[in-house]
Amino acid sequence: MLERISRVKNLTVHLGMLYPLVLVLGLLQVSAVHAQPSHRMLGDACAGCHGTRGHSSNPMPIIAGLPEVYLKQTLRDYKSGKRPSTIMGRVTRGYDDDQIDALAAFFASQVWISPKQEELDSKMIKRGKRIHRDGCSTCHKDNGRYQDDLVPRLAGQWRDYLEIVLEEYWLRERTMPHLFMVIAVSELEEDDLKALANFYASQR
Amino acid sequence: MHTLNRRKFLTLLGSTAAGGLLGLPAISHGAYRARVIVVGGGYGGATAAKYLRLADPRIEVILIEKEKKFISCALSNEVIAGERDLASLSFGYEPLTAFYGINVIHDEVTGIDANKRLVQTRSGQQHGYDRLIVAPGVSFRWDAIEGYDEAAAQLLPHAWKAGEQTLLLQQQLKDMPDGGKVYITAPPNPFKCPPGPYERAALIAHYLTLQGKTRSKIIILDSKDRFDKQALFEQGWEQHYPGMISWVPAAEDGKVLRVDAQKRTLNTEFEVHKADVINVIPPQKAGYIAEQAGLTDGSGWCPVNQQTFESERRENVHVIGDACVAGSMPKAGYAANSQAKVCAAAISALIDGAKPPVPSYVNTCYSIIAPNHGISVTSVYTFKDGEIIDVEGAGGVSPLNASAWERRMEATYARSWFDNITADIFG
Repeated sequence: MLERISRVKNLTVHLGMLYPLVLVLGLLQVSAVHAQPSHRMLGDACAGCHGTRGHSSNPMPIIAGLPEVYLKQTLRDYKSGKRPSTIMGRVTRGYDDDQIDALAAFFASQVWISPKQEELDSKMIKRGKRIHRDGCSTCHKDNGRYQDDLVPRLAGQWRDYLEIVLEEYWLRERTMPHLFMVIAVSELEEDDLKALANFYASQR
Repeated sequence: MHTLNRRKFLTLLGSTAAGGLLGLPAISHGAYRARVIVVGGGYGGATAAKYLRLADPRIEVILIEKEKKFISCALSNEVIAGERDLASLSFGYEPLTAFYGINVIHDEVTGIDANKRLVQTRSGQQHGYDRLIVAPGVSFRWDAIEGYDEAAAQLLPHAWKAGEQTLLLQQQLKDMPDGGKVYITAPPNPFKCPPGPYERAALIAHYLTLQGKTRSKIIILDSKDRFDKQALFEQGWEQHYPGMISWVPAAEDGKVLRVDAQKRTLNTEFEVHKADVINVIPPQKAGYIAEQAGLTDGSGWCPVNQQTFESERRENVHVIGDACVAGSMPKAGYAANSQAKVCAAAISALIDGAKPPVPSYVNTCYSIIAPNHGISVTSVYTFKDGEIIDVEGAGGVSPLNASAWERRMEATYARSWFDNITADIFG
């Protein structure tokens, strides 16, 4: 500690010679840069609903380790209302674009962990696997483990959450983003939604 | 639940790496660079203890809490409604010790010496600290309603601290005949869980309906003229329990001045109400120890620096949760959890001799009107000119005319909130 303080003091002495310049730069900085909370400060505040560092409990979606670009876009869509929500629209309007990017970076930098899920239905898993193979695997490759800027990981996500989102697309009560998903899901029967949710939840 | 799983291991490992490996010599506490004591293991205190260890494992953390188990008040209205049991709301402190190295001492703090930086406990122990976090929650103003003291609460439960009191109210509702009158007295602001009394009215109505006691009435006598999420509650009451719940604001003689526990009567200025079941939610102030340690002001609550939660009255003592005055944040579990994290980050920085970080805070309060009908209020907060304020244009309540699907989802998310926040605190 002492060593650190003395180093800082020395630095001040040297910088003292540049004092007028430092002062000007300092003023510029105060006026130009709005002090932002750290990524962790922002992200930790979400844990009340999304679990510690995005490792959530059922059925809140696991967001730890999802792709950064996907998270950024999803948060922006919530904020603009393009993606409907019960509460996320109200929450995301509390953050500016830099803060939304910081939140996306924070959760993307966490490690995805597939939780153990109880009461998955083995018949439904089989049926879901067939639907996945025939209809979903072009985008959701590798049994839903694949992810990129547009495609979130599905493998190991909470079954109940998968069912909720599929239902949102299927019911069309609300206008969902990703037209491709709206079309794809419209061809399914109600039980297919359960089957898919069981299948992806069963993957690790 | 009590095994060190991969997630917890990674969380702790990550925090160690991020906590910095400066290799600074220990100052005064063996291997640790500082000791922080947390008084009270509820939503605020237990979160602060855990997040201090996540922020910097070189900080020794002692959590002093009287009870072996924490019982959540949030969702305890579902116990009153017969929808869940107390065990589902109870949490032990073992994981905090096993996974995060927190020294949990089950004892009661009876005195704080801020000059000597010492706490005294009921068992006669003394513990020194570098910084102290006081998170005692609320205590009741037993002198506020004539006739309502701790003995009267055995007949007219407050059920505002979950446990025996919750079960007592449940039992009284179970025993009440059809056509009975249930009175709830709602306290003035500020108090713990602003939507709580109104959620309780709804879930009592739900319970009585299930019991076939549909001729019963629930009357809320309020010390206020408006309340949290009012339009949403009134809409939900009417939708699910038409004619069963009535609300009497202060302006219409709603303020209760006196109760008689034996006769089960309530007196307002102009009326005497005869009840079958009375739930008195008393006016509140900061928890006893905060007052005893000189942390409160004339309001009965604790003024703090709202960036660090350090007391304005005692140096090196921080107050979080219901007991403190936190700008526009309500007294709620999520708010306490959020404040605890800001406080932990500030203390970690202060111990390093650094400036406290720029804070960010969140609160969400879910309420359940019926098993498939949830509503919420949420806010994101920032720190400006010395005060916590709502970020403009954000937050607010659920829409008034939402679909049944959305109401069902909010009830689902309410219970999910509970599972997530309690895992964030105790898991």
